[in-house]
Amino acid sequence: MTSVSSSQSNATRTVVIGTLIVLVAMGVRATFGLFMQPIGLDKGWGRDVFSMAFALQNLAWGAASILMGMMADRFGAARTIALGASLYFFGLVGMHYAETPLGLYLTAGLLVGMGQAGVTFPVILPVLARAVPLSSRSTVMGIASAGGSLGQFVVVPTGQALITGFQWEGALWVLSLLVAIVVPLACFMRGKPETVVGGQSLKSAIGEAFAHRSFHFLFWSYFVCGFHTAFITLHLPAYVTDSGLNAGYGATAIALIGLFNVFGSFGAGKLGGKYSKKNLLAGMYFMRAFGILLLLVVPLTPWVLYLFAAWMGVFWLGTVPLTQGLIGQIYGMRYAATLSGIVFLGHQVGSFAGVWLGGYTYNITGNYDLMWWIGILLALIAAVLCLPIHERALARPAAA
Amino acid sequence: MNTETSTARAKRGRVWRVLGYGCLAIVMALAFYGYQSPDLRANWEALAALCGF
Repeated sequence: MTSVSSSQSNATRTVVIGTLIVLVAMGVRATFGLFMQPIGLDKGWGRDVFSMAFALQNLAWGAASILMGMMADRFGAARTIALGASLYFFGLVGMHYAETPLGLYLTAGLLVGMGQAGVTFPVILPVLARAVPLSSRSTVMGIASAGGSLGQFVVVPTGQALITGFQWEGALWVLSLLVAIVVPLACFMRGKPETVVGGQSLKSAIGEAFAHRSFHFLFWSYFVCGFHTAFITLHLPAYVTDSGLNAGYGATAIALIGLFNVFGSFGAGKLGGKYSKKNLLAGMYFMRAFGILLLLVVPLTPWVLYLFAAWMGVFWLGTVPLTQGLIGQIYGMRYAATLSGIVFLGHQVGSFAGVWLGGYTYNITGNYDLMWWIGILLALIAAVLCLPIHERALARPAAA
Repeated sequence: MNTETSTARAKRGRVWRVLGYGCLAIVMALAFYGYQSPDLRANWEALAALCGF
């Protein structure tokens, strides 16, 4: 009885701390845009320098997710999280002292990107999933994803208040310290997957996943997720102003995406515990297509923009608990962090493609219409890709 | 006795849960209000431009 209640309290602690770590990691990252103007004015850097630094950060985040995932599966999540948080912290401190664009690329770009890989979803969610019974896995993944969404939503205005109150230097120090707190918290995230003598090796797990078409479906649907979210956040301001609305409406739209994203992430995880995850994922991409279509066919007014923002918010990061939940469910928890890292790389490549193609099509056509249609097409393709995913755990011969 | 204890515990749990949801609602309302501040309105394009979400 005591042992059951102690294991329950350990699981609760792991879920709370894991959620807190994701909240801080995602929240602090979301504030970076706020530093562009004050740092740029101080150091004489333009938008191009920051864009390059943050493009590097996104790619480093994606690429390092695989390495951090491998590390978590091999040496345990606590060390990986501590390393990730340390890199993130030193990246932020380095950003403070960067005097040249190259300095910014190496700190805010590479170091922070690599650090994020150790303290975000691919590493954290498998730890939480292992800490709870199978029946609660999807729900706790939803809770942690909602924590990340809440961090993005709540830390941004906090960061702005800090910049207003303490200038960008003071604000950056406070945020750096917030990230530093994650290092000791990592101690509570101990645990690595059970290793079975004669069990599957990392190489064979990756080979098995690559030979399984569902893994490719998950990779490419996550690519579409990154494509949508990055394109919308980056190009929405220009779309709003091109449509004749002023910036105030855009700020509210961004807030609505953040707000509804919290509910959407939690809801997706919760529903994923009851219903087919692949069907929910397909539905989520289909709903994104519908939301974008609404924006295209209805003349843009403030309320249409708000409806679009709330709609997309509901289906924003809900893909995270479902995609990572499917990985654990199909391929098992032994190498879940590594496989999640590989799929997350697809998300980041999609983000890069969305941002780049948005700018390219705008330059060619003079508006975003083509890009929105591409977004609808990709959403439908992603929905169709999710449907044939085999949700059942892969059958493996028993270890000798 | 046990039933009473578990009922009391369930009641306490419910109170804490309601308090938690209340706090969460307040934090989210404050955050939403924060996005309407003049500073953040002036900065929202930069925020979005660096893929804040």
